[in-house]
Amino acid sequence: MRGVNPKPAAHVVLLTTRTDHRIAWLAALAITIHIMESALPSPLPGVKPGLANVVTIVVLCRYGWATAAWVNGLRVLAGSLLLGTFLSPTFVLSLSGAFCALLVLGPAAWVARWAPRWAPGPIGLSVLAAWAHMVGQFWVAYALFVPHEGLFHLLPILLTVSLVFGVASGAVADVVIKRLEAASV
Amino acid sequence: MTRGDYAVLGLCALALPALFVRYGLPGSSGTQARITVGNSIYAQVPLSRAQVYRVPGVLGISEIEVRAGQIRFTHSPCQGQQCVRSGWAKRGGEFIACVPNRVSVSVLGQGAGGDYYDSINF
Repeated sequence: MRGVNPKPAAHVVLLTTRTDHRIAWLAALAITIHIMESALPSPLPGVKPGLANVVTIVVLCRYGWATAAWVNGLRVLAGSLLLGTFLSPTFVLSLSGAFCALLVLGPAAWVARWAPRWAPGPIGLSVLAAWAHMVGQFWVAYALFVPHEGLFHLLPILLTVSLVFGVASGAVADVVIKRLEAASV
Repeated sequence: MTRGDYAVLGLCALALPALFVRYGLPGSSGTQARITVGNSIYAQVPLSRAQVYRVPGVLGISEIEVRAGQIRFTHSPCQGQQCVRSGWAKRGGEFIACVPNRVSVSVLGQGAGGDYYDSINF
C-alpha cells in the first residue's frame, strides 16, 4: 500500500472523553455476557435469561439513560457481528427488543425525578425492561416475520417467564449496584 | 424493593391473568384433524365434537375416536396395532398412521403457535 499512496493521510486524532471510555468498557462487558448467554441451550424458543439486562440496569442506575442506551445499542450491534447474525431476523428482533426496553426505561428513570417515592428500583426497572423487550419483539415478529394471530398465544407464557427472569436479573443488578456504591465511596 | 418496584410487579401480576384469558395457552390444541385413506382425504373432522369414526381402509375398518379435543385409534384390523398404541394426538402437526390399513390421522394446526415443531432454530 505504501507505493500506491505516497502521501500518508494526515494523522487522525480521535478525541475520547472519560464517558466514551466508560461506555466502551461497559459495552464490552455487556457483549461478553450476551455472547456467553447465546451459548446456553434454551428450553423454549424465545426464552433466554437476558443476563445482559443486568448490565443495562446497573449502567442506567449509576450513569443514566444515555449511557445505558449507548451500551445496549453497542451490545446488540457488536454482539450480532460476533455471532454472525447481523441484519438477520435474530438481529432485527434483538434490536427492536433493546429499543423498546430503552424506550420504557427512559420514562421509568424519569419518574425518579418528579416522584421519587414512586421510583422503581433495579428490580422494577429490570422487569419493565424485560417486558418491554418481549412485547417489542412480539410486535416486530408479528409485523415482519409471522403475521399470524396464533403467535400471540405464546405471549402470556413468555411474559410469565420474562417476569421471573426480570426479577432475578434485577436482584442481581441490585446487589451489583450496592457493591459498586460500597466500593466507590 | 421500593414502592415503585411493588407497583411494577403489581401491574405485571394484574396483566398476566388478563393476557392468559385473552390469548390462551400456546399450541393448546388443534381444532381439526384430517383422516386420510391411501392417498386421498377421507374426512376432515372437528376435534370439538366427541364422536367415533369408522374408516374403511385396505384391510378393514379402523375405528377413530374424537374426545375432548383429542383424537386416537381405538380399533384397527392391522397386526402390529402401532396406531392404537400411539394414543391420543391433540397438537397441531401431530400425526398417527396405521400403515398396514393405510389410514392416517393428522391434527391440523392453527398456523404459528398452533403447529407443533420438534425444534426451531433462529
